[in-house]
Amino acid sequence: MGYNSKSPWLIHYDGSSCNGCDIEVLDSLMPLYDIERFGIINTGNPKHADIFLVTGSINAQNIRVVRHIYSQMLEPKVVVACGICACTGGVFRDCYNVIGGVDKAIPVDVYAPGCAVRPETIIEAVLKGVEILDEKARRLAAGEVLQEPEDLLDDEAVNARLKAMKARED
Amino acid sequence: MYTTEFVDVPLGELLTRVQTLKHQGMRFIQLCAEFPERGIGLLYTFYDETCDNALNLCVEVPEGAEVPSIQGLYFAAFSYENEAHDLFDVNFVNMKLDFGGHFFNLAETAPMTVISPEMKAEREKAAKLRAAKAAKEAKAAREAAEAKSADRALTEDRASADAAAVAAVDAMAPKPAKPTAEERAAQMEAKLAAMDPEKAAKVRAALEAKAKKDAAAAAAAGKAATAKDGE
Amino acid sequence: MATRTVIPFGPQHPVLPEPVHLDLVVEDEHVIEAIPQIGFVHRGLEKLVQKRDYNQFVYVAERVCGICSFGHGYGYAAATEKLLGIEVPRRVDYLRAILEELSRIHSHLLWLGLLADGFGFESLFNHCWRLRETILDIFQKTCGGRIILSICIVGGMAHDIDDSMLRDVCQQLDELKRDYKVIVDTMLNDNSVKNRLCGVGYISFEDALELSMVGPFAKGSGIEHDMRTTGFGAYGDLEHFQPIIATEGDCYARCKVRCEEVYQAIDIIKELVAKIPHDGIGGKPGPKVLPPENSRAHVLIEQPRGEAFYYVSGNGTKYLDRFRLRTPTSQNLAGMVRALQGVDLADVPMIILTIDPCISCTER
Repeated sequence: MGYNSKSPWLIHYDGSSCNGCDIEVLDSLMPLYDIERFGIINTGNPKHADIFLVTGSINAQNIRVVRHIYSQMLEPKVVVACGICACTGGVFRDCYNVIGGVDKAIPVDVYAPGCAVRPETIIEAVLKGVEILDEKARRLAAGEVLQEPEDLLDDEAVNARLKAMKARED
Repeated sequence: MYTTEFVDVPLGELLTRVQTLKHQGMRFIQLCAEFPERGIGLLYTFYDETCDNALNLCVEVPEGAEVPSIQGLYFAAFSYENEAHDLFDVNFVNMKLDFGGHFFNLAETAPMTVISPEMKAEREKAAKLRAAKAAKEAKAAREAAEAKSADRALTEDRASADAAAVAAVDAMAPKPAKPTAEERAAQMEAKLAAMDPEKAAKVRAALEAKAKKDAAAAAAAGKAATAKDGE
Repeated sequence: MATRTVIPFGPQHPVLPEPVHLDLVVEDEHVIEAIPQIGFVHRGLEKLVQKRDYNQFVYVAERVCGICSFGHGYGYAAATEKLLGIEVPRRVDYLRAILEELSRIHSHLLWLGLLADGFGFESLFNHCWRLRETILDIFQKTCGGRIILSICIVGGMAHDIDDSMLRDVCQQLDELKRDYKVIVDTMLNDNSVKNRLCGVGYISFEDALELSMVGPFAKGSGIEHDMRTTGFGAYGDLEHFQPIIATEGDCYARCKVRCEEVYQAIDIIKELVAKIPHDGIGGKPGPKVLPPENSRAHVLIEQPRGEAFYYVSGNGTKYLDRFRLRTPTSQNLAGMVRALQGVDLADVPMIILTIDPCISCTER
């Protein structure tokens, strides 16, 4: 177990979620489920965070926001998609403003399904994410350069996704 | 318990009507747009606390018409008017707070006016059912008229009565002509040609057997008739 | 002459659980005006009525918002029953009212925790949400889900909640009330809380009427409007119901109103459980039951944040023509813009939290 997993901080962003998964994420921090016993703190600053918890699906307005937050985080970092809307789009997959799950915007490491996702599942998913964090830290220390998708902040890629979504509606 | 009522209001009278309601102290509940088959409509809801009644004004919006904004009277309407503009492409004028189409930043314009394939299929199905129902009603009406004319024919001059009845019935709903024997045979041939060859062979065998049976029955009937005549 | 700057607030902010963007025009730390920008949570689910028939859509309607989830299912089911002309048994009305009041307690406890967190009062945040777990356990035992209940269907309830379980619920609520009293007294009588909330974000009675505000946001300014007084559903059988109002019009008044509403909700639940009839829980309407052509119906119910409006219109097929949900927060947006004018920049998160916004409800 590397030192990255001793006290990973997490940042949570709600992208078009109904709030069910968000309040379950906050519930995991509360005394009953208490993810803080692993040294995990919920921070608001992307530069402080190792784990990015995203709830809710991606739509036209928040795809850029999610990419921007992800790009501001420093390596090594993991992304955990909480809730079925973040995994695949959930019940709202057919809606006109929904592009899909979080993997349409940024690369996802752990998928935690559920509607709303239970705190036990969130804790399990975060701990799995922490193992992956250790793995990435080891590779980074061995001299490997961890590549982000090149087109992360590129407007062209975002516009291509939006066009694909529109074509699906027609 | 509160009561609800729906009232149709023409677009030109909308602003004056809302002004009257404001003077009467009605509370504004909401404004929404809808897109049924007959075109875009707006629904304004107001609540009268003195008699616990929810009053809905239904306004039909013709294509491209300009709708006066009520934000001057009820500022809370700004979110609904901007939303109706973004989702349904309804054109509001004199808005106090106008987001210019960027209230919801959407990938497509007026997405609520796009009809999904399932909805389209259901609407067509409903239209077919309506047409079938209308035809059924017409048929029932024709049969009632035939029965009536049959009664009348017993008392009137037979020939003129028949002609009048037939003319009346034909005028109401044209009777579909019954196919003649040749037409029926042609239709059967067409069906057999489209069928599986094995199945078609079986059907043809059955038809031949039936024809033989009919002929035998006819012959027997004829024989019985001649025998009767002969006695 | 002081210069004006525009400070963006949100969509990602530690104090806000939901994405909303405000452009705050400030002059030396005083907010001159606030321009909201929403649309981050817009999924466009009102269009899904065209792809899901009216029985399936209740599950989509519930997922508009996770906090007021039961209320949305209730409102949609009640509106569709009105459209189809279905009368539900009285037991269904009682069960729905009981679950709605439980939902109100859970929502206010959640809000109180978030307010304390916004204050920096972390320990109160933890206590409120610990108490909230009791309500979530009740939901889990009676309906099967913690947040999304899926018990309300068009035509009645999916399954029954028997009387012994309802009596257990009342007992647990009594224990909750004892712990809750300690928390609320600590919060409302604390001097630093009073210093930060009293006199902040003032909206007068006339302004509240002018801006058509609803819910505890309006009740804090003295507006006595609550849909439960009209006696819809099982609320008509209550002996005595008076909405709780406060007249000061500032953030502290709104907090007081919400805290008192929890006590009122516990009393309502106990009264309804004592009187509940046993005439069945209704059932799903058959496939031949369709809304008539050009039909429309709407209902108004009282959600934790205020009055919500549900409108459905049918066209003779199993897909509804239109489902419209107007939530209390979308009505209160105008009030929020007014409350934020002329305040200090550091008070902005506090005022937004006392409005209790539910942005996912607003944007659907």
